[in-house]
Amino acid sequence: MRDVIVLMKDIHKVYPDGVYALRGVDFELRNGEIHGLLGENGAGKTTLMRILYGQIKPTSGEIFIKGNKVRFNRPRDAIKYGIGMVFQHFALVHAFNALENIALGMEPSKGGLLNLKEVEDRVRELMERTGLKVDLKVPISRLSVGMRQRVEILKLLYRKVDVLILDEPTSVLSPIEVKELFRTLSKLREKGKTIVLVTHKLREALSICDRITVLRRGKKVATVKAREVGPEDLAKMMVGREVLFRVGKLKGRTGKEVLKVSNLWVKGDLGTYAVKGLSFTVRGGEIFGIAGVEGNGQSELVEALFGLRKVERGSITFKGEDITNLSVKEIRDRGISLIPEDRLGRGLIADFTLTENAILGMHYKPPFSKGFRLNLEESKSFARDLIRKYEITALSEDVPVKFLSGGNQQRLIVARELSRGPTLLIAFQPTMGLDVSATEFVRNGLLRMKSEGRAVLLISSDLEEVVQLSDRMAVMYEGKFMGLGRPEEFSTEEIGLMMGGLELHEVKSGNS
Amino acid sequence: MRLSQAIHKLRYLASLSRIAQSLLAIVMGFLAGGIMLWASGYNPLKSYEIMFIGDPESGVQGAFGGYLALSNTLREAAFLTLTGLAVAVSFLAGMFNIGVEGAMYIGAFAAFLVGYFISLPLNPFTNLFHVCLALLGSIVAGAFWSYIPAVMKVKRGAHEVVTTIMLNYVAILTTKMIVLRAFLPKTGIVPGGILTPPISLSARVAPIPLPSRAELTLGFPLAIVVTLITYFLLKATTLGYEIRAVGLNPRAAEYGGVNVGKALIYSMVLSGAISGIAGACDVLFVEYRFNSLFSPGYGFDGIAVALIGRLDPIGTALAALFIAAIHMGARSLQPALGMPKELAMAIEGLIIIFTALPEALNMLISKFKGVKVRK
Amino acid sequence: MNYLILASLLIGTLRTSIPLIIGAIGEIFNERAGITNIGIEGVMLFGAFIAVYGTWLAQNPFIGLLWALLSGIAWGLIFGAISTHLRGDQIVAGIGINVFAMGFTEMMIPLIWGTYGYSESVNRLPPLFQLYGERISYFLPLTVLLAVLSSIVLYRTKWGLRLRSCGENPLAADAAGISVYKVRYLTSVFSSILFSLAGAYMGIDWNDSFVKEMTGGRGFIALALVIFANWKPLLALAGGLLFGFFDALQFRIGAALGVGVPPQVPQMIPYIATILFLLAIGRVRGPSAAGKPFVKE
Repeated sequence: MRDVIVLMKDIHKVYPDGVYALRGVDFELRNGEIHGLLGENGAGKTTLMRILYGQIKPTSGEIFIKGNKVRFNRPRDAIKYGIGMVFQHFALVHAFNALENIALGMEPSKGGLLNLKEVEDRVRELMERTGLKVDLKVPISRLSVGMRQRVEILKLLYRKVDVLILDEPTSVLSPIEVKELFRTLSKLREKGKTIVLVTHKLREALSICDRITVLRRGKKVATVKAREVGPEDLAKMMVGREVLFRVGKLKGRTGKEVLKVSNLWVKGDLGTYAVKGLSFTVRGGEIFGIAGVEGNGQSELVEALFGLRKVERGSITFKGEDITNLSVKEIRDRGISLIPEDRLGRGLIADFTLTENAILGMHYKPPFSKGFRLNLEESKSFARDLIRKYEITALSEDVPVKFLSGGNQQRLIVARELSRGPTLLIAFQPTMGLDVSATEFVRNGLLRMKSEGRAVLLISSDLEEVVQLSDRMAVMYEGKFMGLGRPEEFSTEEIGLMMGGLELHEVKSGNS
Repeated sequence: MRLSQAIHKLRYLASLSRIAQSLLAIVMGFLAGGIMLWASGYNPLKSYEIMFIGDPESGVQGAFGGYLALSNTLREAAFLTLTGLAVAVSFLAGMFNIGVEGAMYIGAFAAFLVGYFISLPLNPFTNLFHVCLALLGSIVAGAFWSYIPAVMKVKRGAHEVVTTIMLNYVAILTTKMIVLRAFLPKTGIVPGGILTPPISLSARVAPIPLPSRAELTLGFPLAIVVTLITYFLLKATTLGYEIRAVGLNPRAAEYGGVNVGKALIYSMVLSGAISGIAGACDVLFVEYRFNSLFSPGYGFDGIAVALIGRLDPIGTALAALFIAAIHMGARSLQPALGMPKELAMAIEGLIIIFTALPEALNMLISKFKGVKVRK
Repeated sequence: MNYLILASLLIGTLRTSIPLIIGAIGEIFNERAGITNIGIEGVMLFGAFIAVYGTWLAQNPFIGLLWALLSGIAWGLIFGAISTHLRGDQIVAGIGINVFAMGFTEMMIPLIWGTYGYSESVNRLPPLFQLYGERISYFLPLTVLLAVLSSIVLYRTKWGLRLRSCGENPLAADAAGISVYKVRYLTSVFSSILFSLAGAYMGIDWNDSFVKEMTGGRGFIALALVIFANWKPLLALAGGLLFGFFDALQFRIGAALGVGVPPQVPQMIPYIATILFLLAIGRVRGPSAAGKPFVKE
């Protein structure tokens, strides 16, 4: 017991909206270990760690640090006790550089003025010791996601934290970056730091952790030693039953070329090129998948295809017609649908009713509009149809969509876009954050489109999704394709290398 | 079935709480106004009684205290309904348009020009024609004036709060300048402003007589018509759908094929057109001339009206009636108690501030009801 | 004679630019900390009124100045609450403040002085010195000092770093242990003090009485100046002089051009110039989180 650094006892958490997040969880962390905290979405992993970090208060339960009972009211209290957390969404000021971000909140002053030199000296020393190299002087907005994560870790080390909690740290990283991160974590363990790795990825947890605690629906299932269990055991503990979720890939007849993109150049928000000379085609009756770590130009590509962003150079051809830089309306009217990435940011209007959202993008066309008039009756019956056909759980078509669950909101978007009978469907992160049944629903929708001879362009950072669904796929890195081919042609490792920025021929020659 | 009943009840409660929010904002405004009255040495309850009903001692009528007062209140309500609608239409699209005042001046001036330079032989038909023509003139002019800041916003990203306020000054100064230049020998000067010569008889609409020397100007029925048209436009046309969509979520609207810039411009043009009608009401129905300072700030009152009405056309019309009553009531405070009529504006400002705090109001409401309000 | 016009134009520029610069710097602090207060005009007007009233009561302009300071603190606390705990709509609240201040001050004039539209004359603050018979105000060097110090505070001190982090990414600031609400309250109080003092300057330094709507849209011009200055205090100083020049021009150009020009033309100059400036600058991006309420769980 002497080397137990953190002990959480019988932690309960009920959110104000009545959701039970934790139902009496015990958690024990030993000095100098890497401890995996494993569970599905909604199992309560993040809630438990946010309680330890002082960001939210438990409804009941006790926390001991090195044997002393503590009560944290805010993260600062936790940091004082040497506990720090890196969130999935980094808490960095994009307009500041790394140095300013690291210093923020603990700034040394000299003569009343900020002394960033002192920060720099200390951070450089930390970088030396841990191998976490970062460019300290450029704004965060120009750093890659992996680099930003390093800044976050440095921030905690600068605060002399002993316990690092990392919340799903690998979800935004390429396989190569993951390897580097794990190397760093091992190094930190050697230096005596204790690490909590919050994740839902079994293999990752097994590959680096000393011990693993599994949560399921707000309860602890078990804490096990990593070398004594296999992935199957963990999966069973996590899900509570033996499941392996798979969608059958249908062999479809591939039809004519529907979309042809040649040498496409698109700028990002910062004014630099985010898509750099992409060329590809999508045929009817096939799913063309684009894999890659988020933020490698996928958003810009999708927006350019749908008329939401200007194409600087190159062309987009749809069924033989040049549609480069047409308006969204013109592109929609030609038979292209989009399931956007950002549900409430792009796909839906939260305060509009289900009916009003159901006709978004078709509201100006018959039967929903007659001249300048909206046909409200027609819209309502259409919305009711969608609710029935696509099994959307909603109390009525007059409810604002902000009252629907995330899964049902996504169903509505998918329902709306599929119901238009598009020649080309662009699906961008279509299953992100969805539960199993909603995910299955969306994936089956894509497959049905394909079987009907329509073209589907699937862009997703979920590698498994792309590999399972696509007939052909490409891996995107920094605005370019690293490789393109049938999924069967690549090993998982090769795809991983491409996601990390190696081109296909380099990967193949490196392997041989 | 039970579920659907539950949701209907929920929606009823939700809409109720929106109304409750508005009412509470009004109450809070009056409470704060009462404190101001009390601090200035007046009895707040007595003052409010005088405002709305009247003072038997001095014989002053409050806003609803008699036919004459009521007709004044309705005349004021007409202006406020129109400016309120003008504000609501632009706010719904997410344009913080403070320029209704300026567009109203431009509209009034256009109506005056049409009314003054055209003179038709007087019969009911030419009367109707001329008035419609003058109204059309005000609509076009007001729409054009509001189009300017809209284009500046869409093409150059110029902040509409600043540009519309600057354009208010420009509109008021420009019309004044033209009046002084072009009509100088024939102008009249009153404390309120500089007056042009009157418009032709064929462009005037006499008020409808009511009992005890009271009159109903055409502004009020016209405002009701415009309210209904606006309601229809917003709820039952593609344009209204697009304007609301852009205001609530421009990124989603863009994705839905809506040309966001165009929708913003349309909303502002619509707002300007309604502002123009508001201005024409003064020229054609009330003063029969252009007064370089005819508005006591109707365009700004419109902001309060629209916000209290929760940007809903019907709600806006109701709020206009209410604010008009405050205005008229404050005007009767002056002779009765010597309390300046600007009290109304101060209370209005407070009500706007309180409408900006829905969360705080919700908390209050839930305390009253002892019910938890959803976040 | 031309010399005199030029000299008076320059002095006029300095004089008119003061409230614009002070107002703009206040709003720069606000927006850098994540607050958008478009009630500058109202707080300014209120400051002018309260300064004149305090001076009139005490027969001492410094007491008036103190009153304006207190009024600034009060408005700052109110708007601080609106932008933090109350999670209000800041634009709407700002509009409300403007309407309230306009109505309230105009209402108070007859209650206090028995006149309509303008107050009695009061003692002004003493000038720094006289130049060509024109007063040079203490506010002039203080405004320059304010701009320089503001720039240093915002960019060279830890307080500036913290303040800016609240305006760019309050979540990150919060994660770094900074109390976003505290920063925003303090900033709001500081900026409202500036708005109020700018008004006091107009009431008891530049002029010697309160006139209804005497700020004449300068609070909104200050808002435009913030954008023009790209949220930087030193640029606000430079831009303020430019805006002040056009503001001063309206009083002088009539004299320069002679009788043929209607007075409304020069009166319109500052407003049109403001619009043209906004058009010339085009689309700009301010602090990312300005005007957005920060909701802490």
